[in-house]
Amino acid sequence: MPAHTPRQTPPQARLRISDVWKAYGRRQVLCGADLDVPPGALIGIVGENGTGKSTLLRIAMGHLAPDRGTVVRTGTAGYCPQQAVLNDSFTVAQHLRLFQVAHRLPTLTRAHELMDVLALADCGRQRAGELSGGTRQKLNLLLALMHDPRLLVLDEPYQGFDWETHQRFWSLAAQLRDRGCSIVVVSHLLHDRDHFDMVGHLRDGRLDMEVPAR
Amino acid sequence: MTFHRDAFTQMLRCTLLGHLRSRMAVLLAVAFVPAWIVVARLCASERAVRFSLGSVGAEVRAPANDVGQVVNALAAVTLVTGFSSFMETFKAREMDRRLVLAGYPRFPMLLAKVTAVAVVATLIAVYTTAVLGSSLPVEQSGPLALAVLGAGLVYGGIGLLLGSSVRGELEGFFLVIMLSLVDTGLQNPVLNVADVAGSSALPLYGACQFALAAAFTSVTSWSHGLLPLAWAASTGALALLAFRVRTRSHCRIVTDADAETVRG
Repeated sequence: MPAHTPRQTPPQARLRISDVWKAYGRRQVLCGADLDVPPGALIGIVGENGTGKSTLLRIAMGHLAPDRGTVVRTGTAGYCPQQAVLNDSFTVAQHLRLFQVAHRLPTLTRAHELMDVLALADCGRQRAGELSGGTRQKLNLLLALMHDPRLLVLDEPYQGFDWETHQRFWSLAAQLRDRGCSIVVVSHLLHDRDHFDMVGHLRDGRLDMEVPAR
Repeated sequence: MTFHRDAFTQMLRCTLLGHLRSRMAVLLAVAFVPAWIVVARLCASERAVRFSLGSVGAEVRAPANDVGQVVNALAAVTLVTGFSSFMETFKAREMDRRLVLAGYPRFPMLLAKVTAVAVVATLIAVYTTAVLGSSLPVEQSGPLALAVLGAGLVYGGIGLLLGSSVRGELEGFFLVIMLSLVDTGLQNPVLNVADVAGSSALPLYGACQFALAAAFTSVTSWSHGLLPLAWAASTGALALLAFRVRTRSHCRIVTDADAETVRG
């Protein structure tokens, strides 16, 4: 639960992270990190290994409790964790049906459209445990996108993607952003920075925001 | 209501298929149960033993290897259902957490898992009772099947609880094996000639008393038959609690109505 009463959320913020602190044992990872994500923004989070990028995103999605600070989200959200979180015994189609229930979706039309975009359409009957690393990651991403959320939080979502799928991912992200979706992406790749409206550098547990040079 | 029913049905279907796809669990059920019964039949003495049975309220006389077969059958069932339930719950828990945080209702999800355990335990109970019936003269097959089902439900519930709460896979395996070994060892009247204080508080006590009475007497001790249900209900409730703690969200989610209030 939040450590203290949150500040009033500005109506425009889909996600507001305020003064978040987190330590693992004696190692302090986040030291008062702040982030505001407005509608229709594509924000990159960059930083060296172990600086707390995934921790920040897990806290943003409520998967991890901060030691201090608050997180407030507005509207529907989709989260793609760094390691694919799937059930190896279930088929791709079973994953979709379960998340259809979770998101209360009347149909899987959008999920099937996204399967075509991500070249996943032929895998419906395959079990997650039989999929290649890249295909698992596509399913991991699809589960975050299939309900057209207002906020997308993606932790290195294209690990294992081939170049073509990587490019398709970025055009999909641009389309979603243009439709008003707010997107936060953790990235390690320098050439990805051109895609972002804002880039947050995670250094010494805090986020420094900047507009990338085009 | 329809939403919760859909959530229950989908999760039950997927979980049952998951159990069936677990080759190790199926192999254990098909091969280990009869093998462990045969071990007792061949290795234990054929001489009659006299033992006190609380569920009957009298002393019972039966061949030692017949008693061994019934107790070994219960031991095998506890291991198979305990492992199967633990593995399915443990493997699925990150995905279950993701589903719950995405909006999947917790109670239908856990109810589906408990139902899947009950279905698996029923299949194993029917199979085990048939194997026992072909290997020794059983007085009452129906109550014996219910006793075996009770043993399966108890350890299925324990597997569910451990799968929702322990940190590592090895810890869960170790706990299922150790608990089953201690429990069946202390419930076995052939091995355990002295009454060990507290053995009636162990999970298998009710099922074992019910099974021995059904196998060797014409008495049906329903009060002992209900004990496994109490154990299964308790472990299921604790699993739900552990599941709730594991799947809680740590951030505040503002609904559209809240956002409107803030704007106003």
